[in-house]
Amino acid sequence: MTEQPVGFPFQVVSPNRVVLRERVTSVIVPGLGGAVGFWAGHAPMLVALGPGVVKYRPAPSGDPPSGEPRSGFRVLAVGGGFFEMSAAGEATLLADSAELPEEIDVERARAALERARRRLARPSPELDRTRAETALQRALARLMVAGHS
Amino acid sequence: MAQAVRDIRRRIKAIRNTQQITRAMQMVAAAKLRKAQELALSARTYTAKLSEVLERLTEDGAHLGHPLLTPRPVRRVTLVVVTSDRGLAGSYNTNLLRRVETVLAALRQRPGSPGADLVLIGRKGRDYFRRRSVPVLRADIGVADEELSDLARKIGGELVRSFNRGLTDEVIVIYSRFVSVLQQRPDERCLLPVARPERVTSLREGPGPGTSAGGTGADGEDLAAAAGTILGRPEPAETAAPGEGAGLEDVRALAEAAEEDRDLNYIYQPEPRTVYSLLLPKFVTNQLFQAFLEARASEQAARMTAMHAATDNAQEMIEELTLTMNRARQASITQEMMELIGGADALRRG
Repeated sequence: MTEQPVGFPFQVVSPNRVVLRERVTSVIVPGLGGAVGFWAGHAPMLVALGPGVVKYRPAPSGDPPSGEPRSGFRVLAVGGGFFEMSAAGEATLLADSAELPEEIDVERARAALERARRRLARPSPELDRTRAETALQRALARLMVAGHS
Repeated sequence: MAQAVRDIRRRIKAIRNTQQITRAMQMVAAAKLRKAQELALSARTYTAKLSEVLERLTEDGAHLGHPLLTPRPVRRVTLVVVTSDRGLAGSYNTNLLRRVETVLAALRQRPGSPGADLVLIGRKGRDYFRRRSVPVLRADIGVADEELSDLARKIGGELVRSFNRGLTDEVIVIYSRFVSVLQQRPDERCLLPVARPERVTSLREGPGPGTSAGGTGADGEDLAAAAGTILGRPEPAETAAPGEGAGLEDVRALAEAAEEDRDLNYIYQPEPRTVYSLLLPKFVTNQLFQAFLEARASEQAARMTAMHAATDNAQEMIEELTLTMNRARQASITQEMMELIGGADALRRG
């Protein structure tokens, strides 16, 4: 038996690009019915995602990246999508949109949050409630990931 | 004589000016192409993955009886035509619009000759159909690259809604697929009802002949073959036979039976049918978005090739004219000398 590498491959793709491709030891995704966690060897599964924060723990490689705690979670914001754990043990996240912390436009997210809050506070008849709520969650996820909650 | 030389020189100058413009346009197109190509290619990853997931869900039987997947007798067809806003791209728009005409002709041949509505993206398409008798549902012109995904979402949503409400029974998108910088091929793809996943898989194989999910399989220009595929498109084999209602019931019953004892390959959250309902509209939107991106990349590639050819032609003309000019100049010099010699001779003899 050859030595198995730690963890499993994880990739995040959005319609525009491949956002992330990395080996991880675990992933937590924002499922529609609540957060779902995955470790290597998880049964094949397909989860529909709402807007929220994805947490993942990079698999330890030979030398730990300097200045970063080895076991730390990393995060990214997604605006909904699907997560698939395949039978081959490969994890894929199909995101409607996905941003790494450094890519987030904090000002824009704040503005979006304000807008969504205002709409929900004073509902007008033509308000699309679900849409406003999704926008709110998306903005919250972005701010959380950017570290400005 | 000197007049002729001057005329030719003037023409050379004019051609050189034109050449400078075409060369600049070629360079601009090359830069834009690089961006558009990158976008189209990186989007293929997502598109391929989405098809893969859809296919696996279908294996698990979640699709049975889903309305977006069920072909029905076709009374009205919506054609989404993706052209460019600007010209000077060689035969890009001409080829595409000719393909649209082929598809329209094929529709008239189909049983019941279903009516067609158009959704147009790009100024060229709108201008072309402005004076034709095909109803246009909407036309979007001057859409920036960044707005394409929003537009795809909007149009995709509208199409799914009108399909669900029975306003259209089939949606076909016609666009130019980006095969390579030198090759762009008009292609049509059936968006709704969503093609059977066997067909969807071919998307993953990327460029190559006959990879369209709409089931064209035709190599571009082959009109007869194209017409054939349109004609022979989904005849709802198992559904339509003994009156629609009964057929649908059968499928539902089948779905329920399958729901009960079924060896699912996957764990779903939420349950398969809900996931499927979430996934399908997204799939339609994404196919549309991919078509937009492919079209943009094709447009720039076509323009670059056309402008390259124009620059080359200009160069050839300049060289030819230079040769003619030199010959004319030479001739005029020779003639002047002859006259001089003749004059000198006459003087000496006189």
